[in-house]
Amino acid sequence: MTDAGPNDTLRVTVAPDGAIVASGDIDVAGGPVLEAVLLEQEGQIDADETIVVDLTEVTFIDSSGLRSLLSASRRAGERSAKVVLRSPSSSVRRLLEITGTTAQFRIEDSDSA
Amino acid sequence: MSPVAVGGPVVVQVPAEASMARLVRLAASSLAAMASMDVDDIEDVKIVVSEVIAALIEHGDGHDITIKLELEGEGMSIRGITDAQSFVADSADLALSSTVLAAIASEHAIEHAEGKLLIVAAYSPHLASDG
Repeated sequence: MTDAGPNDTLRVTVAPDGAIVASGDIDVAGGPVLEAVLLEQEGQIDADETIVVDLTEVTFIDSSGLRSLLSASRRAGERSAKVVLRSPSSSVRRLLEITGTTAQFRIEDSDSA
Repeated sequence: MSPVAVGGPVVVQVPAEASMARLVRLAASSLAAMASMDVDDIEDVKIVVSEVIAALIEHGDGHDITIKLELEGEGMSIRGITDAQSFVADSADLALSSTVLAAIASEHAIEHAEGKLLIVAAYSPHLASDG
């Protein structure tokens, strides 16, 4: 697993299968870290390939963190691809619902991975 | 657990740095715990405070940010202020933040006047659980 971008509140790694694994808080500090890893990973995959973001160990997210995921979703849409959010916690799902952005992602529970 | 009496507001002044958001969330969640809010309410308080501090960091001039946290009844009021000579009120990121605040906080306002950006929000456990 590649350690792609740690900071004080968020650790982002890239798993052997290419999934981006976030652990910690995706907030105004962590959002740009995740964004940088997403951009780097997008540069290494085929245009129509799916980006998977594993959120199993995300403990907090706010709108500034959500923006990094939405930006990735927008870029994926331009490639006719989709961003998969793997195992989002109830708080992540709630934020998606509040902001009306759930449909911009494919949600994947860990047992369906 | 009985609520701990808190005599007055808790005021936190931090540099306008993204890493400070976690510190302010920690202060707010600690105060909410002292007021015997349950886990879900504490998580909501953290989101409200995080939206306030993030907006002040991203839309302020980069000077210090002052956050006042005050228990009011069973809820909490959050008041954040920083210098901001210019301010774009209709930015997409602020709209997303306002959407979150409107859904979780019982009330909120974002004001810019006289070179200051002020964001106030109130969190009420009952209102949130009813909504």
